[in-house]
Parts: sequence; C-alpha cells; structure tokens
Amino acid sequence: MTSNPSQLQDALLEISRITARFTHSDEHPDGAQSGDGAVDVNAGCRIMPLPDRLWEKAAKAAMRINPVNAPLQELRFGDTPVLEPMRLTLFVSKYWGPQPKQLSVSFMESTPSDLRSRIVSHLNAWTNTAGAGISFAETAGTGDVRISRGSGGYYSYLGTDIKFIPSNRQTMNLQGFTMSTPESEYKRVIRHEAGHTLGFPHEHMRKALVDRIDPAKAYTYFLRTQGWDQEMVDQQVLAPLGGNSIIGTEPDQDSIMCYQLPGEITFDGQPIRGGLDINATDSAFAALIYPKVLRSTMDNGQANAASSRIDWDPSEDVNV
Amino acid sequence: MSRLISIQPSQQDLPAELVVAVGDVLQFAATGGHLRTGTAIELIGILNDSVLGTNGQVLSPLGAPGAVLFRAVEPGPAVLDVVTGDPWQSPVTLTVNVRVE
Ligand SMILES: [Zn+2]
Repeated sequence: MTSNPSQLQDALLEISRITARFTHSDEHPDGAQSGDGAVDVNAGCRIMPLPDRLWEKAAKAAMRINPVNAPLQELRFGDTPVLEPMRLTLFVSKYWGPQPKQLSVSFMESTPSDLRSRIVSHLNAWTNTAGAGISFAETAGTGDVRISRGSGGYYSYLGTDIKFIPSNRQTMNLQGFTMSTPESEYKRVIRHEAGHTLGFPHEHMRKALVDRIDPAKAYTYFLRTQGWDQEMVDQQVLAPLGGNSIIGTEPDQDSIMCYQLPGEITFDGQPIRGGLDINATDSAFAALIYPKVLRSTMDNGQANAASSRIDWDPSEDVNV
Repeated sequence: MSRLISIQPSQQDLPAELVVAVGDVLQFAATGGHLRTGTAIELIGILNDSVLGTNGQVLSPLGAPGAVLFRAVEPGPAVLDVVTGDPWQSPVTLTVNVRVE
C-alpha cells in the first residue's frame, strides 16, 4: 500500500481520464472518430455487481491492493488515509452505484406542466451539464423523487435513502417555487437539492471550511437570526463530515453543495462564498462516480440484464 | 382535550391574534423561532422534520430544521417570532401575537 500523496493524486487523475474516454463513447480514446472496423464499445462487456455479502470484503481487498480503490471514500492527500470497512458499507448504502440510472419524478401538489418541466430540467443539470450517468424523468405515477413546493424550506433526503421514504411523503422540498422564481434560484437551490438526491452531502461541512468558522460567533449569529441552540448550530454548520463522506475532491467553497455563510461568523471576517451553480469540480466528480460507461448497453435495451445479479452458493466464496 | 395546531406560515395568513388554550401545542413549518415576550407560551424545540422510513429507521433530510414547536402553559399573552424561508440567504421573520385562554 502506498501513502505517497502524488501517487494517489496521479492515480485519481488517471481514473478521471479513463472515465472521460468512456463518457464520450462516440470517440476513440485517442480522439479519432469511430469508423469501419473499429472496436464496438457498445458490444457485450458489462460490469457484474458482486452479491451484497461480498461488498465489504471486496472493498477491503481492493484497498489493500491500492488505496485509490477505496470506493469514493474521502481521499486525503496530506496524510495517510484511515479507512474503515464498515464506513464503506455505510457509504455504499447511500450511493446509487456506477450503473447508469434514471430516477422517476412526481409532484405532491397539482403543478402546471411548464413548472414541472422546468424543475426536472434543473434536476437534470447534473446529467446535461456535468455529464453524470444518472438522470431524472417525470412520471404520471409515484416517482422515486417526490417533490413538494409546500412549507418546510428546501431539503432532500440523501441518496438511496429516498427509497425508504413512505410513498405519501415528499423526498424533496422546494418551498414556494413558481415560474416567476428567478432562474438563479433554480440553479442554486434545485441543483443543490438534486445533488443531495445523488448522495452528495454539504460541502461547507468539510473540515477545512468548518475550521474557518468561529464557533462563538456562529452560536451568537444563529441564536439571533434563527433561535437555534448550540446543538443545532453544531449540526448545521460546525460538525465536520466524517470518514463516510462520499466527497472525493479537495474542499471547495464554490461547490453547488456549499452553503453561503456570512463573514460575521468566520475567524477572518471573510464569508464562505457558497456555490451558485454546479461548477467544474462538481461536474468532474459527478461524472467520475456516476459514469456513463454502461449507457450504450442500457440504450441497447439490456437495462434489465445490466442490473441483474449473478450469485452462487456462499460456500463457493473465495477467501481474499 | 389539548390540540396539536399545525400552522404553515408561508402558505396561510396569520390572524392578528392567535387564541389557544392551555396545553395546546403549536407546530409551525419553519426553520427557526423564539419567544419574544410573555410567559404564557414556551418553546419546546426547533426540530428536523423526519420520517420513519420503510426500512424501520428514522430518516432525516439534509437541510435546515422544518418544525418549530411551542406549548401554551398558562393563560396570558405572548409574542412569538417564527423564521421561514432560506436561513442561509433570505430568512423571513414573522411575528405572531398569541393569547392563551
Ligand atoms: Zn443542502
């Protein structure tokens, strides 16, 4: 196992490059266009998922071979990563997985069609702008993603947690959104909430950003503006993300997943800027963990085959 | 019998004076709140609006708190502040005059 920071960084960049090739499947890796006799990237090969009981063991083995294989665990380049297998298991429980996927979307209240389309188009910014292999499509039935525009502010449940929300409850709340809401708010709020649905937590909870906040100032500020006690402030802005975070980039105050926080609560008086739209780092990371690698297979009508699992008797499992 | 009174301040107009009885609990769909004046009402808490998932676990969304609870504890007047909207960008504070009978 290597703990050399530059080796880890190089390996991560290589993964990005490889993924980028496949996400542009009409091009060859060297940039040449497809032609007669070219290898058909749409043909046959697909990644088979392991049975659930082996995920933790497989992750552990992969990490032993190369720490970069730690699946979407936060990669720390400045020190030796400490990776707990159970955290990987917990993480996997929120992540939709690398197979291209479409989440259906429905609305809790009667919503005009132009508004429905506009909201769904912003959910799909992760697909259309960032190039992620996961998308959203409206359904007349009960969606995987259920949107309410009623009271309760803006929120979404995290990643695959939405599968466990009772079907009569919303998984995402977009209080008060109408066609007259500014486009900038569609970008800032809906793309942020869609990020939660994809499994991305709050970027302002990254330790490097939390360390910029003066707890005493934050307690005073949020008590005054919201009536929040210290425990609530800790939970909302001061508790850094733990090792089960799925974020793999360097902390980024311009990420769409980062809230804007006022200079009034930071040690240096400078605000944490907060993201206004999906930025380049968000895009790269989303495309990396939700690749479009299997898109062509899905488009060929083999979606069911791609998501099926081959299993065997546990007594035949290989010890690694 | 005491009542759980559900109020959605961003979707309904609030009366000039809200009249409730001792023991009633007020549940505002809001991100924050506090008691401005009076002893007739107490703040129970500002809570994350969570659900019992179909997997048997309590699941909480990522976002600001969604429920603010007050309880009427004795007859008299009180003034509450209830905060709605986006706490990071544009919080809106509403003042609610309450009379507990
Ligand atoms: Zn959020």
